[in-house]
Amino acid sequence: MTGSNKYVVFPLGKRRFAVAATQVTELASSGSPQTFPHTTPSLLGVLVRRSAVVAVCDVAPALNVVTRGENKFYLIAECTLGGKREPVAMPVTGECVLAEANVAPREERFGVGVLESQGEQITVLDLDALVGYCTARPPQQGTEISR
Amino acid sequence: MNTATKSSSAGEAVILFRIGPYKFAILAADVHEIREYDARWIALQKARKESGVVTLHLAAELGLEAGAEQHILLLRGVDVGLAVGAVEKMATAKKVYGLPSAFAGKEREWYTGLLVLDGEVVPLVNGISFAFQSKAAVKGS
Repeated sequence: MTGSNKYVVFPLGKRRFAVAATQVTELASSGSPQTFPHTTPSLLGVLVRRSAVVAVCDVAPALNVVTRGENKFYLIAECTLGGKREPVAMPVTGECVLAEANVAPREERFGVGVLESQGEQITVLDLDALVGYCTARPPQQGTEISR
Repeated sequence: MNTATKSSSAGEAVILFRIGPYKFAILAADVHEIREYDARWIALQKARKESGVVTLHLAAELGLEAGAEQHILLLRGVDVGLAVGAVEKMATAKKVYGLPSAFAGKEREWYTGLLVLDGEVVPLVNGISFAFQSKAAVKGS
């Protein structure tokens, strides 16, 4: 992925990541997600947004980021999961900014490249791969209830 | 996007009940009778073996703490009852939302969808799925 495009840059703990602006549908203010018993790892619950029920996925552990519960907003972006395109909400730890930048390809886990913003190299995420990884059930794992 | 799996202008009649801190719903059409929880009745049904009603403790099936059962929902058409906490009331759900695709675990068997009632998200329990899990004989099928 190269070229000039628009990206939403968001903070997660001490790092910043970016996703293609075309994938982002909304930045929602924080509130507790509603929960119910389930066994999918990384899902914190659901939000009701614009007459839709949106899963909330904590992607921080997969990105080796510690957030210490400082989530302030939910970045809601379209992901393709199980062949279906759906919005997924991810807790982020601060306000997002729109950046227009050239993205250079770089091999990185869950990344499609990097962009440079204010002297910082920011990983542009492959959200489908990231959320798919987070919600995949380890094959040998027993039933574990997330609440 | 989530899509309504079932809806009609009149909506779906559901029975709302609790297990611990969680609220659940089941289609009223899937329930034949609501009984008070009675351990002796459950034991009696168990003693009847194949002709008795199999009671599943829904809390245990969902990995929740059991022990506060107050009612048994007898499912229609099968010899299976679901022991649950307090049955609260009946309600009408205007729309049943599909479970978001990100949910990929056992919950896809447990629930047929999600309801939003007064802003609260309530899973719609798939009674038939639990009935088949119990290996109970299905009447009339």
